[in-house]
Amino acid sequence: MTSSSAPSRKALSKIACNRLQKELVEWQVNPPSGFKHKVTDNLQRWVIEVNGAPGTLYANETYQLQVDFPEHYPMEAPQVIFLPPAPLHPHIYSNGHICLDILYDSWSPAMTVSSVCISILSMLSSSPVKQRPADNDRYVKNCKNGRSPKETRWWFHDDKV
Amino acid sequence: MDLLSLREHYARTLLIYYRWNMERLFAMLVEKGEACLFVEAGWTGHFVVKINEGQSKRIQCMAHKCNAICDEAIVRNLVSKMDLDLAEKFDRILLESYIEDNKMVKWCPSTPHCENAIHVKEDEFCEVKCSCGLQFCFSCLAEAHSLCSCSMWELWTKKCRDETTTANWITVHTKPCPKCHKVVEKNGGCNLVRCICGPIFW
Repeated sequence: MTSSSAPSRKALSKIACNRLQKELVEWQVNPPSGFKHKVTDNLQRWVIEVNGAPGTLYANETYQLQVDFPEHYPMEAPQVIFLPPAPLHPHIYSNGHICLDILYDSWSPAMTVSSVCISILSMLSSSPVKQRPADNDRYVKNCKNGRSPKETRWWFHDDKV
Repeated sequence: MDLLSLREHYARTLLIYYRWNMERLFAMLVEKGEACLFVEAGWTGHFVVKINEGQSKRIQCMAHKCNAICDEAIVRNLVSKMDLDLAEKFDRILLESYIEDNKMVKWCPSTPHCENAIHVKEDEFCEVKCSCGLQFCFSCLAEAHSLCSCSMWELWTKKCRDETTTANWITVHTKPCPKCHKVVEKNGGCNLVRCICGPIFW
């Protein structure tokens, strides 16, 4: 299985649906720059195109983010991963998992898909080097069967990139 | 005052009664033609009791079932003859009642309090930034929470609080096994505790 496989999950609650409708409208009115949401009729999974910011290591490169929403979004964080090929970055694993605190421990319902996207782009832009995390192979091996990054116990030790 | 063509304190009494909602007040004036206000002198004791209870606005006539609102100037006049401090308290509570009554004006929730109040123009469901720097939700006074509704934000902060409480309880009441690192609670007995994985500790 690849990281794009659907996580086993329940349908969105009514609150989650309403909230996502609101976010979708907000996105259409005021899309974050550098991102393109490929709108489908699936409200529970958004696929978003990311353009590397000009003047950074990722300029002129395009990647895809896949955002899956849990039943009780936004009381629970969305699952956000890069679809292959994931950008080479010290906090992005080759299976697309992203080591970023706001996607896990520091999530709050005041955040939105849009604000998460901006944080990810800022994380990409601040990288001085294109390389995989030091423990990439070990981590990816442990994530067999399309395990969600939300099940990982992340350790956020680097606040520079 | 000019708009209402009334004396300042009459206008204030009416505005307080209608919670500073000009539209409602105008509607009433158009309907009734004029406001009916009356007060009788010699009621100092009644006013003193009411002000000490923390009332300033809408002090009513003490006659049974009479809903007339006492004239603010007369109250101040009578009370100040007896107790100047109390008259000052009357004015202070009256001023503060403007903020408490008017749903478009609220105190900034900063701690320590910056003593600012914020007045919003159109929508009370919005996020504002006080000149002291604090950004907050005008509706629920919590920190700004954008698309998240006030009730959901309250639920979330409660959840975070509960989780911290649980984490604190675990730190205080349990020890991790030195081998398997599972948390162990000792709810009685001696200090010889053996984890199911083997080691004796505590």
